[in-house]
Amino acid sequence: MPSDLFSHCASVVRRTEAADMGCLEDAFASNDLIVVPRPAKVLFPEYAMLVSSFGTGTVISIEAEFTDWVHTNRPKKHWAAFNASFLGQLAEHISKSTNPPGQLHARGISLGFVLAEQPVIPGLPPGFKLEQRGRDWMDEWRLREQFHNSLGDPGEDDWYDRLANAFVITDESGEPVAATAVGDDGNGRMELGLDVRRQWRGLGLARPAVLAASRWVLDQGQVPYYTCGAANVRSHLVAESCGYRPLWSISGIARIVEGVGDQAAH
Amino acid sequence: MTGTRIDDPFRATQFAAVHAAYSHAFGARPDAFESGELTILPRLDAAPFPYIAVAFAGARGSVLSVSPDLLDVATTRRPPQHHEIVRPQFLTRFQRQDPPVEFHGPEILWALGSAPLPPALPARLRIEERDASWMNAEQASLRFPNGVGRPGVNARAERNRYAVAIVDATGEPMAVAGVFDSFGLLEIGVDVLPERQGAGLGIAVVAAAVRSILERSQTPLYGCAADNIRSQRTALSVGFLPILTEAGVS
Repeated sequence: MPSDLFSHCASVVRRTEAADMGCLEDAFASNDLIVVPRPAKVLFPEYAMLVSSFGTGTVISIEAEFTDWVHTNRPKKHWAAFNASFLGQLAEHISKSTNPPGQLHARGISLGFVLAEQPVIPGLPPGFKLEQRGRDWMDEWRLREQFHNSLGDPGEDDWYDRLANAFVITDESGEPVAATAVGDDGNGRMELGLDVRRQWRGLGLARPAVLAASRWVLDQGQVPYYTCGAANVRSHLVAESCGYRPLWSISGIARIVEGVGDQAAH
Repeated sequence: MTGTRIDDPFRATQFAAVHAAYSHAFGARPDAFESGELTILPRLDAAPFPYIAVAFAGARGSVLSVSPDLLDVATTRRPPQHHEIVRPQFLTRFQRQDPPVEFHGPEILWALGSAPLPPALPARLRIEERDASWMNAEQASLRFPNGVGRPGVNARAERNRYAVAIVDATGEPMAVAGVFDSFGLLEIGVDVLPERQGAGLGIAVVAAAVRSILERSQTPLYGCAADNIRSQRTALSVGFLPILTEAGVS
């Protein structure tokens, strides 16, 4: 039986995801593949196409001129819209149809998680501190490229501009070693991005940073959510240890922008 | 249910058993999944199934097994992080035109983090075990393709060991958790009849299967597609945690 917290968070995410995809909420419960044109205003404008599923129906949101191709080549089962071969063929079609031919690539599958419970925030190992940090800190450390998931890579301005807060763990010398940044989607939900710098992994630093950020988001009356690549077992385990549960899966075809890192590589 | 701590003895034992089984099956060192790196290996002569390349990504180490003639290709362009090896852009480098090959995955593999309690069942339903003969005979019906397997697919007939079924008062199965061998582990595949979905029978039958495996002093394993959210929540509800992601070209 899902907890009240999970049900509430899931409800907000479903509603906001439907709005961003440009579909009705019940498309996600259709047990079918629903194809809709991309809305004019979207959270992730770099995507020519997004595919999203909550497990009982799949929605493809795609630039209008390509909906016919999707209808003609639609996979037999709705979840097959996530298959690498289908997305690869679609990416090739979009690229060839763009003038000049665009550079696109199909992203891997990401999993979206919402809170089902709120574990107690554990203490930190001796010598480490957890603090909130604002834009000044983010501006400085973004340039140092040590926190790719939380602060984004250079050029990922859409994510960086949404950042509302950061929870940073420092060691005895004051060096930031882990960070969870919170990005405000502006629609009732806030996304967490986590980094633990490599030499400080395995010390239990991820959970305090994620749990503190999650609690702050809830205190703002918003819904926290967490995403990671489906192949990122470590990140998946962190999510689960912080009380998050998988709610939906996402993939898509992005236009490659020079100098921007791969957002799905987290 | 929040996951157990990484140092919990039960969880550590279960995870170690799964890592050891997969390391052994593909010729990797026992610590390959704790190495912090991507281990690249030639496919063994006695490969468990035909493939061009198959990758397993773990939290602290990953393994890529490739056709021997592709070892140079594999080593020249490693992904920035070891677990990214299962992403299509790295594995599809190994695609060939003749014969044409197909990318499969990613699939998430799950090991047990904590043992489930005995499941509670709705009234008038009970749990029964069925043997491998029943499973293989049931394949043709296609009612339980994950639970008993499909005819001629993935050698399920040889790998099937037994099934745990939730049956109604007439003995008719409503949900089946089939238990089959995967590299010495006992993997669970589950189906619930469409008209019986939404009542928690999937979680109940998987929990019962897990308990039967533990009673036999064996190690349970669960697998599902990376985009199968419902199956992932079933796994978590029973006490499984993600351990590896698998993808390949075959």
